[in-house]
Amino acid sequence: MYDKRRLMRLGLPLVMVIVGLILATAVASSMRKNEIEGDVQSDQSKKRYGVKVNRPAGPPRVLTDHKDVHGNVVTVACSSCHATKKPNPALTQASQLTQFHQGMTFRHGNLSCLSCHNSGDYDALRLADGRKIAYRNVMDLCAQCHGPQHRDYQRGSHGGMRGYWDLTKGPRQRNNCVDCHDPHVPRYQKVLPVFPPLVPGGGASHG
Amino acid sequence: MSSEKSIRLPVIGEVSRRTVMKTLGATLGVAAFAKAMAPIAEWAGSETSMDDFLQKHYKELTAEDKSLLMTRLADDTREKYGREVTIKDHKPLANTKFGYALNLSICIGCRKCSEACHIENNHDRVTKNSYIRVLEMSKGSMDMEKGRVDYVHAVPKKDKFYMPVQCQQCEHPPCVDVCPVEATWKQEDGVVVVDYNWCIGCRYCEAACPYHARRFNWKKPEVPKDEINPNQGLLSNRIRPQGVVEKCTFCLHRTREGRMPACLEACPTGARVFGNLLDPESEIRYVIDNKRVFVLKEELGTKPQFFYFFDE
Repeated sequence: MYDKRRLMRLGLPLVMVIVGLILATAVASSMRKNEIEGDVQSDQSKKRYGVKVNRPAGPPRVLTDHKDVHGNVVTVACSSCHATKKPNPALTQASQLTQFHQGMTFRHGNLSCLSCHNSGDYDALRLADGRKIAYRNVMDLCAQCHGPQHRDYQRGSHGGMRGYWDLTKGPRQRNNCVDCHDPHVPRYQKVLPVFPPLVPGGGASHG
Repeated sequence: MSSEKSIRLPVIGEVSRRTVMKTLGATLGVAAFAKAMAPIAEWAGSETSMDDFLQKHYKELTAEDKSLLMTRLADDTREKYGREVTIKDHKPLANTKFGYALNLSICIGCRKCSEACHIENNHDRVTKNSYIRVLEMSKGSMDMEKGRVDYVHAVPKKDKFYMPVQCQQCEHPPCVDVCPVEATWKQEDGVVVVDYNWCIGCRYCEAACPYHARRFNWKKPEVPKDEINPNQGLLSNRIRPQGVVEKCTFCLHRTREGRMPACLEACPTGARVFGNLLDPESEIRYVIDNKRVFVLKEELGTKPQFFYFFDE
């Protein structure tokens, strides 16, 4: 009788500890399971292929008529010449120039050269507020004025693209603004149509 | 013996009636059989093989039937065109309804889409077939019947706009309703397809389509071996036989693999937007929710899944 009571006194806490341990393990394991499921889900949502937007390789390089020892044409950075020239913010047309760039045409609103080109660093561009922006990020420069186009571009309804409509199956490649629009003459230029259809009866839409 | 011989004279009366009837019957039978078989005998020399003729409807094919059919079609292409091709049966995607939109403010009418379709879908080179017809329209009218397709001047021309028209994958497709043999039907993702083996070439669908989107193969398509697109779909761009109707399938052999249609990739101005109408985050839904979108010949109640819009 006494032994039994003593056994209970020792055993009860022991049983409780064991049950507690089992419960804790079960809860922990179920929590871990949730975590794993969560990881899988986030993996699935992460498993979207990227959208690669074309970008200029860097600042433009100017061709010279010199060749290096390997026969490659020597190119120079814009800053090579512009470091020694004083910027003229009033300039709006290439025809006003006496050296370099004379042949260029420019039809882009009322902008001047230095609206976009950076007189502090000719190997970079310039935002409207004067901040420097790299050639690679030229689209942010365009977006300052062309908001609706930028918005539509971001939503996938402006600008040519290739690849996958379903990004869970494959990547996509998108044009940059300057792939289609020459920044100096941005209007999309006229083209000759390709692939004229054979229309025996003339021009009606029935073919 | 000799007496028996003497009575076998070439006189009809001497031949038993049974023999005469038998011979007559046999002759007529052979003649009738020959007459009955004549069309099939003619097939022997034609493009349509007996297998093609006896081919069951797409919907009745088991997976095994389909694989046999696709192997046979690939063999056919190798034999007739000298090109190895892969033909697949692309099933409609789950939870997907394809939609296509075209920005008329951006389209310049260069016809690159039409050309890309021609190449992608293994169209006949001689007739310069394509599922896309680009209409040059006068500003101020939306009547597609007044559009012209034969322009050759530089585009875009002043006071004109350009409207490419292809299959609108209607929700209520009149072309499907009129088919007397159910050779054309609408699949779950919205694409209207044609079973080229089942089509009898009556061209009712071509007449019923308000968008002039169906084409008829008057002749066997001629495609140079090297120009054949080898990635083919059983219900899309595999080379069609003579005498059947064909149509745009939103490039289901590409789009059901997640890729863009060929006409979209070819568009130099980005006038085309393609995607899943059931996905609220998709590009196509952005256009439909935010742009002034219209459909062609809305009054007909065909409910096109192809939309046009202008930028504001």
